[in-house]
Amino acid sequence: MKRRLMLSFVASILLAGALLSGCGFKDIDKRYFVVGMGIDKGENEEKPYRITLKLGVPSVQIDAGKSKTQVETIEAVSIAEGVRMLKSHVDKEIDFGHCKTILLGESFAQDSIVEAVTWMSRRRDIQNIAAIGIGSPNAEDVIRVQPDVERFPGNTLNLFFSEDATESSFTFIELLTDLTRRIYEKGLDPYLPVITVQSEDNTYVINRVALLNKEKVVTVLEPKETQLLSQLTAHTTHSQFGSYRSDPFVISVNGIKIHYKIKKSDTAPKVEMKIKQSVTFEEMPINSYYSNPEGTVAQLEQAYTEDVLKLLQKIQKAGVDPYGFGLRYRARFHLPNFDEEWPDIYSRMEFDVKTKVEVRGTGLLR
Amino acid sequence: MLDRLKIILSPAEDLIQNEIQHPITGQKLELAYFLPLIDEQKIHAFITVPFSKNEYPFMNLLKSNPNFTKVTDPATWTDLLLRGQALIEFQDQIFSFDAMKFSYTDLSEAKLETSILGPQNSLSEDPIISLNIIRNAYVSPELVIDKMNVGNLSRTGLYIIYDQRKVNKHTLDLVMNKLASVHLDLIQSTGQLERLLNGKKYQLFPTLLITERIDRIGRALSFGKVVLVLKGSQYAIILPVTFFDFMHAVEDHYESIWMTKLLIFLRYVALFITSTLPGLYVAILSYNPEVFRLQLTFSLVASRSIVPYPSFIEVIIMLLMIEMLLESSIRIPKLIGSTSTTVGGLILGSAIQQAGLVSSVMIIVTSLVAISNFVLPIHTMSLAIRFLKYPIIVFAIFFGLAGVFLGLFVYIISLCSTRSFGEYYFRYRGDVSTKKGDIGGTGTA
Repeated sequence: MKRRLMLSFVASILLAGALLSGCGFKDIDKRYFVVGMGIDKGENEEKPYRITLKLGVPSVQIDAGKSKTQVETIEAVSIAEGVRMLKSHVDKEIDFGHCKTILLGESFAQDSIVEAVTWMSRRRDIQNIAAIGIGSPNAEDVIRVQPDVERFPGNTLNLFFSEDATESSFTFIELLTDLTRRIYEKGLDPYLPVITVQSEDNTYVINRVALLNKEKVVTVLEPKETQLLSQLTAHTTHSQFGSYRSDPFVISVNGIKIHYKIKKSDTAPKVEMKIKQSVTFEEMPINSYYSNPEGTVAQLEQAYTEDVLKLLQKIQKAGVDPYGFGLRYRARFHLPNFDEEWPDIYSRMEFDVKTKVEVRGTGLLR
Repeated sequence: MLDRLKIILSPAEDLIQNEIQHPITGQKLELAYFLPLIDEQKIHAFITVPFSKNEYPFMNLLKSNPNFTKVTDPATWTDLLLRGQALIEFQDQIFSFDAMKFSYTDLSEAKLETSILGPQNSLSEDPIISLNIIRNAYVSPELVIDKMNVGNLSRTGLYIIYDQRKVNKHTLDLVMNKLASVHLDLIQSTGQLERLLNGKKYQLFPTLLITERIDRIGRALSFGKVVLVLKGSQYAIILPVTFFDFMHAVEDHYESIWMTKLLIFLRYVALFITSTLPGLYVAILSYNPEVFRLQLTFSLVASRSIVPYPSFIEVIIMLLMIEMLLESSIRIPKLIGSTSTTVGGLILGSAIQQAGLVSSVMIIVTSLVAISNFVLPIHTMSLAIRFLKYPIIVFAIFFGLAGVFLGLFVYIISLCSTRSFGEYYFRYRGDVSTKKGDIGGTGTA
């Protein structure tokens, strides 16, 4: 009796499993893997979203330039509906499990990204480690590019946004987790890398970053500023801080440490920032360092300080806060009406930057 | 002398104590020896026959033959007995007689648990030879050998061996009770006995360890375990055991420590692979293809695109094939044995993939499962583990990746609830004693 009860229990569990297993049993060769997605503003007023999906076509041959993809585009009332309608355009189940790159069109991002991001974070099969970027001039054009030497479908863009392959001090990597956090956290604003296409050889360039307020793109930084922001946020976790230039020197930053304090004040709250970096020289005239080490270091420190100040003021003027000063302020001081008071406090904020350069070597043996 | 020996020595079935009285002269001879340790031919030729013929004064024989040594100190008696000497008391004098026998040459080579540096031989089907090498390996007066007969018809001799001082009395009682309750007409192998003693009828894991290795038996005795030797079988049973005993090869004590530690780790990896890999294959291919890298996904798709059936049918085809291959290589006569592996392994494997019945990744999975199964050192456990993958496949078919881990979870629960003769099966160290009143405790109280 007990055994029969047990058996029927197991059977009912298995039956329930068969009925309730959700997305269900679907073999890997019956799925289409999305390897890149683009969301643009539609041209039609009634269908404001233009969705581009790049689907990977598996092939037995794996070689440079053998990657095959299929690109599908649709205009729809909403993203979810667009994706569902696209399913009727292809013969296999669309799977976002390997979609590591999602691009938003430039004009789309200048309107609002919030809806798109909530859709991404709600969808089960879009992973939280998907990288989000802004496609320029629009996402579809970037997605449609098929790099000549790509080995796997969609792999080129994936490698840009992974820490396995290229590590550039110009490329910001913004993953979905961090983006949602930056959208919902008060006092910390999102940024997104801007991806452009070099049309002559079908490759990508990612060397600018767009700063957003909680909703839309406010300003796009130039490559030099992008690198500086990357150094300041210590965004790159590996020792890839890039370099900076102060004639006649080009120095490479090997390590950087930043501490800052916020001083509260009614008239002019102040950010005191201390930057300590260890550097080596990449370019300099022979012996120019050894003839005047202190002077050289002072020159470098001043040059860096000026650059940082300029950048911080530019960001401040744009009214965005990718560095998270607001978050620090909230943590340190009582501010009940943050949303109303913070923009005013931030616009009055003054910056005091001190740089300390420590020369690790000249790069040459003497 | 015999009375004193009874006090000194633990009651052993194999200790022969004889009192012989000559019918004519009325002279008395007391004789004691461990049966497995000595050569009975020698006893006859040098002691019992000369004594009964009485052609020559026996005392003179004892004194003149250098094989006989006079023993004055009773403290050395046990030691002498354990080293294959027979003790003789004649006219209030005690002599020892060297009748030592080593049975190593009578043994066959170990087949199931081979080792590089350890002893190369297995036990013997003749229990006296087995007892001989056990006595020689575990030289202690505390060693007890009991004998009983099992099987209503066969009355097969069964020797119960344990170290009197170290054995857990509660376990011993359980074993004795269990053996007394065995009712079967014929008992022909230790494997049969194992199933009878195993406790529950549908036991998933073996709770007794079947071994043919003398070093494993010696080690087990020194840990206070009970060893059963069945007449006519070259495998002995060790009990109680823990799950981790099954993961341990005798060689672990003989070789370089760091490599050994790595090998032990490797065995657990193999355990994981062999029980879950087919399930993982189904789960990853059909439910959660996003867990691996894009590159792997695409090569999986490419290799699977010619396969007409869903992934689990593919898995079942391959696993059935490999099980048949393994089974046939045991049953096949030794002379044509290698043919089946060649045909099955090489030709079928590549042909089945070219025919598009299974993907090439599945061939890798199948062979990895089979190979890692053989990494496990104990045959009974590796058989039990061989079964574990099937329920996991069923779980994977219905629940995907979550199902695989649900299956593992079920197994771990089952391991935790298993007892091997009253001791916890899944405890890591042997020296944990259960306290009275422990929840689920099996203390003697």
